[in-house]
Amino acid sequence: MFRDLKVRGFLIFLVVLAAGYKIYPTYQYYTMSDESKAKMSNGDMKKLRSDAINLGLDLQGGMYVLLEAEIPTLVRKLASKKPDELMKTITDAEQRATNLQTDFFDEFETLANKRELRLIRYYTNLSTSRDNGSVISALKLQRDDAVSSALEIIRNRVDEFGVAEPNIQKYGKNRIIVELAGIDDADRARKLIQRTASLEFTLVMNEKLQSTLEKIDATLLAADDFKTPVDAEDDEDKDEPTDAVDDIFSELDNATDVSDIISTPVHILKESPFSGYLRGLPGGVGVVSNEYNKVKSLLEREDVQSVIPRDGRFLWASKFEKTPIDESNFVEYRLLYFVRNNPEISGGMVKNPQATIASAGTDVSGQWVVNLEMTPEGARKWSRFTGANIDKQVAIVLDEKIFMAPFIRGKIPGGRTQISGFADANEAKDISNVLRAGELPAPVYIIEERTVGPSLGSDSITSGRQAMLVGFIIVLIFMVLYYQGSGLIANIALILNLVIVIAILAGMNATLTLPGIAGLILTIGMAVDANVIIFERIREELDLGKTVKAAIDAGYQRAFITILDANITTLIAAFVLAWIGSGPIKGFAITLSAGIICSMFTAVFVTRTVFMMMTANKPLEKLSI
Amino acid sequence: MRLFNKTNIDFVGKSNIAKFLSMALIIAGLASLALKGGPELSIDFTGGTIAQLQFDSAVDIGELRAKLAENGFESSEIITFGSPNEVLIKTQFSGANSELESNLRTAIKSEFQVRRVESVGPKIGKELQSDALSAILLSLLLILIYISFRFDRFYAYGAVVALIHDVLITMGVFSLLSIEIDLTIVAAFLTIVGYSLNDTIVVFDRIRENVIKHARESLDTIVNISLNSTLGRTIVTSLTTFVVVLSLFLFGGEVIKNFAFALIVGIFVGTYSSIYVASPVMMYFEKKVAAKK
Repeated sequence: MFRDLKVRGFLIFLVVLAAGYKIYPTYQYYTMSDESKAKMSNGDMKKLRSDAINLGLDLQGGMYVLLEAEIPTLVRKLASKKPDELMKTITDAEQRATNLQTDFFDEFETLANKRELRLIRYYTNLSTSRDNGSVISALKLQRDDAVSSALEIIRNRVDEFGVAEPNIQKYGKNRIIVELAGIDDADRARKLIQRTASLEFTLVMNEKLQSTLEKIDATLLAADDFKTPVDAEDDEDKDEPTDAVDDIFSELDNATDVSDIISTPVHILKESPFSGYLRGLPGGVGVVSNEYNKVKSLLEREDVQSVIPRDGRFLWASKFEKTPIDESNFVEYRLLYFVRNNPEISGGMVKNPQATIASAGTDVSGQWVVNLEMTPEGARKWSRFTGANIDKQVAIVLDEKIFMAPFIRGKIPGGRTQISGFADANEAKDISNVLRAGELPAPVYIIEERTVGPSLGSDSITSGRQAMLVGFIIVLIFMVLYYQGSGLIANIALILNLVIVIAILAGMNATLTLPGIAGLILTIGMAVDANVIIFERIREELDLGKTVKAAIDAGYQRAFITILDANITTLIAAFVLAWIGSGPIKGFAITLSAGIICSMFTAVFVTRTVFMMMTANKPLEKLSI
Repeated sequence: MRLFNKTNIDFVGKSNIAKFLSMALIIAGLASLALKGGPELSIDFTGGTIAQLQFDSAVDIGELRAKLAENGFESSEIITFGSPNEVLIKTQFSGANSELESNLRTAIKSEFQVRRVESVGPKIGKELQSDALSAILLSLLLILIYISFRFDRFYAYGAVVALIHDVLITMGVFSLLSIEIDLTIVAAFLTIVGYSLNDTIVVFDRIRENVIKHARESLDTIVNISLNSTLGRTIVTSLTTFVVVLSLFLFGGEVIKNFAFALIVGIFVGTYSSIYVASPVMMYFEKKVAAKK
């Protein structure tokens, strides 16, 4: 059948037609003016976009995030009783799983069995069977639920962020991939996705602060690895910030930030290595911005953590604030609070969060606030709590940061509350959004992130296009110079090859990435290989004195096996890459494979057809090769 | 035009010189790898964060480094990237710290644009490492099986030794030039594997054909005839592939540059090995077994 020229010609015609049909939407989409894009209906636009080749995040700019839900935390949370032996087993299993790259649950089961822990005691409601194996299976189901609902919650949060066609999918057992194209505020997106959205209203324990600070100071002074600053530069001339200044804040605009040069005098730190850093500031106790990192790391020390009373913890304010110290200078500082661990109100008791600008007449008028209502249970608790703690401070804690810590002026019935203290409108909106979408069942952490700015993406397109054009033209010229007329035929095949590869990419709904472009470029170089093999063979056969027709026949026949073997081995490597590789690498492997497969059609079948047409009617005396 | 018409080069006779050259290159590469304690791996495999920043004017690296060190980025590496206005900052993994960008802004203080941020957790790094390794090993294994099936095991040994040779030399070159190996470089390695093999197969195919055609000739002569008659094709294909990869290297942009460079090295080494490594190794095993009989 394939000996018939008409059949061959028709087949090639069909392929070209199909390729053109598949490429057209891509051409249409990328050449269309923004105006006509705006005119199209949403449905048409969506269809056009899905038919066209999509650009990868590395080309159009965007953010790829791989999140992992922390399963051990979930398992800890699910336990009804939390004895030390269980907690330690979970921690050990977690460590083993991380180090050995094994499954957490396998390690947990092994360790529990080895230590003769009866898991059913701590997870009574989860499983009807009493053996550890069934409890583990039940926990695995809990994990699946948690990851699925985390996925939904993240989807809701991202939807409100307003990115066109976000891609959010589960990956493996406890991971979630989030892809956001063309995003310009990566930091905000990152926070939005990761927020556990844990909300707590809890008491500030000012009465325990002093004694706790004394304990921390004593611990640090006694610690071997801690050295108080040496008294070499014991200068007392340095400005000490004055305590709470009642100056007017509007003067801050033309004042100078002197936070950098303020530091706590050494003689104070020698006696109070921790509390020495804390100063009385508007709103409470805090540290100057240039000492914040130091204090934070002191607070994170294990020995320090161990002397902090069990019922409380230190939390930082959500942001830095500024206060003037005299007429022309100001300092930046962050407040530190000591709060009670058992919160009065938690996220589950809150409903209808709304971000708005506070109305005139309140002390936060003009600022962004989030208004909340509470469930009946929450409202009851809140009313009782506020009634019992008049004149005390309550901290409103979101994701372990204190947004505000107002004094309770009187009993609040009904449960309506307002949170203020946001940095800007976006923060208020994002927080009300995450509160509405709900709390994540397990904390999720970003374990891999790749963000490309839109400018780099378009640069990559430009340079990729240029590299492709230059390489392409040189190969075309070379082929004509080296193989003359036959080179021209090979060039037609090469161009056709590119067209078909692009059509295949469009047909597969593949995404074009920068490595994908590289694969396309490499294809240009390698696709001519089949023709080179054939042409060199034909030349050899001609040298042996065969007629043109016989030489062409022998050339194609002999070369075909070689081409097949050579291409299959390259394909093996490309397939392995496509299988194991992720994202961009996959794009490279797919374009390379498509290119190689197509070259079998274009460089062998198409060129052969052209030669057959040339020799069909009259025998060729001489072949231009 | 014909550049390699009826050549009659004694490739087999020169295989001792080639052996020496290959050994020298591999040893130099391995020595460099040993001295540096293994290949220099990028954050893809070690975990870490890189940020590519673009400034309005040329950047003073020393000054930038000092500013960053003051602000908690002590252990960061900073290099210019492409143009003098752009830098690449490599720091510890900061996935849990979502404030990287604002921290950089407070640290640097002058205006810049974030072009790219890549952050890989240590756990993922380990996984990507074992994925990359298994990808390379798996493809070598599959290729070995395919060639044993299509030719025979002696050819397969020859091909796989040539591939290991290519990857070792390319890795050595990367180590000598202190270029980091990242995910795309691994993809380049696998492409080199495919490319070099492509070359080798074409030669093997001709040897197989000539073994039947010239049954009376010695294996040395057959291999020489085959290498000479495929030489034109070997050089032309290498040339066209080299041209496109060079164009990728020169015009493809900074992000893809190391990838293109790996391919350039690979094309040279792959072409060389298909002539001087694959066939001699195949012959060595073929003769060894023949001697036993």
